[in-house]
Amino acid sequence: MSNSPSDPGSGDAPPVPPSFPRPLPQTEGDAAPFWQALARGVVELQRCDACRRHVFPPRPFCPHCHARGLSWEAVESRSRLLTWSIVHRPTHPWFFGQAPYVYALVELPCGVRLPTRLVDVPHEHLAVGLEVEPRFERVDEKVTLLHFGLGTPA
Amino acid sequence: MSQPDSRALRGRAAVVGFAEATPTKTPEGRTPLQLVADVSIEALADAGLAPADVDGLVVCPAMMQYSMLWPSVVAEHLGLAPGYLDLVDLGGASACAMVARAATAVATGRATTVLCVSGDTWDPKGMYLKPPPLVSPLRDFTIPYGAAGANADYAMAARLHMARYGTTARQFAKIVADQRTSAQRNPIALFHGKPATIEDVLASPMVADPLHLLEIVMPCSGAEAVVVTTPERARDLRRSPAFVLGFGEHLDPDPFQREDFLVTPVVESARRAFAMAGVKPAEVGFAEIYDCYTSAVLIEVEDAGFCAKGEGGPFLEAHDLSFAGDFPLNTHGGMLSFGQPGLGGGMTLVVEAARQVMRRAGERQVCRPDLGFVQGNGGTFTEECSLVLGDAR
Repeated sequence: MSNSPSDPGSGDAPPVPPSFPRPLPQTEGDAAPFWQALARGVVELQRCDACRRHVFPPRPFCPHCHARGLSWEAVESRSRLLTWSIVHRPTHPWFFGQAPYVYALVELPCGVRLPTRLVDVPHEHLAVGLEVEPRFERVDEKVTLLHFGLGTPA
Repeated sequence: MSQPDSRALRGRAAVVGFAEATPTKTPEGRTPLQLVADVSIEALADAGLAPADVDGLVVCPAMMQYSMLWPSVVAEHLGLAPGYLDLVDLGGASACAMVARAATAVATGRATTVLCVSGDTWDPKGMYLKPPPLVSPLRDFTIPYGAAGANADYAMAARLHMARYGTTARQFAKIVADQRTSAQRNPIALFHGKPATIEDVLASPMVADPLHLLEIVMPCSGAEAVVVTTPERARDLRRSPAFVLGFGEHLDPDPFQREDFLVTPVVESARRAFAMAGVKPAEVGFAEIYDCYTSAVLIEVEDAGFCAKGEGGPFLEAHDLSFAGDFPLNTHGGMLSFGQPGLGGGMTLVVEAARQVMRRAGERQVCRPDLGFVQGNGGTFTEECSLVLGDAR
């Protein structure tokens, strides 16, 4: 295409070492209970004991009222798709071989929105409001990622 | 306690000179510090000022030469000993926020003449092998799902806008095409000599659906500097000034949890800037809107108040956005055509706004240059800063 630059912008990937490791979250620290719950196949979020609002990402205090008392609670995880992008040219090298994949924002019934990846969702099914449910992807003994897939009919 | 009236700051500072490096796709052997020094010297010469006249310095970080004590490093290199120093680290909002701080310093007597300078180099390999440090717990919940960088987040904003308001791919692509028209009048733009039609944009490779390659900004090496001083000092200088009439800033750090993913802190930053300036969006003769992505432009245009929420697609379609059009937008080609020199990329928009207000835009001069608006946008619509520049106080 005559108008494209001869070398890539941020939308195109430069050559990288083939040994680039998969980017995985820190599972220690404030978010440890979140990742431990996912490893058990449960979605748990923090909730403020004082103002009762949910807190995400996890931290030792409530960002809404600055109270320090937070409790971990299992939450209903059947969610609605808010928006998505089908990523054809990933920016992180580990994902080059995964493309195209669907990066998405889903909304839990409690109102918290989670960035995630949709798996096994045919692209023609993608729509705002689509019902999705967790797909727990166990990566190793520490990390289970929270992907989402099509909900099973009730 | 009564609120201080921001209007007291209106028109109390002016841009009296600027300089801009030719953007390049590679570093070409230069460091950010060298680029920063070159444009600083040029900008002071442009304003007709000497190094000894500078008593304020405002910088932003260079991603490719990330350093602690960066304000001192730059000051030492340039032989400056200012009484006011600042480092602004607000991503794409940095440039507007640098000018806002400089204007505040000048208006409140902390400094008389402030140099605002940004510069960076771009080397894709450098970014992958040695990215600057960024501590953000939220990143543990995005990058493992395939969202390193901002492409996918701005693509999700575009997708939701299309689904909710019926915005079309052609409406997004028109932003690029019209800006390219202006870039043909800017010899140093990276895409000078390469006009693009809506069809060209839509035929470029899909990167993060619905965003095509040509809807995504191209990082580059480059640098910009502007000189801000008092209106009194400005009167005695060689250039007719661009007065800083208004500025406003707002941060909403988590784009995912905000009430509406498509309603951004631009609403508040622009409201504050227009309130200080005492003007309405409709009075503005041209706009320089941070264009890291087409979806960013459209949503910023809505939230700044140029049209209602959801009407950005039809609004941008109905207007000629080129420098000669009825809604001149990103008149140097925008970063989408010019290139994005690092975190200070927004300074290309500030320089272009000053250039237009000062009637120095040559063959891309807009027809109503008396009042211009600039929007800086950082993160995923998280850090926002707005500026209003005008030719009279």
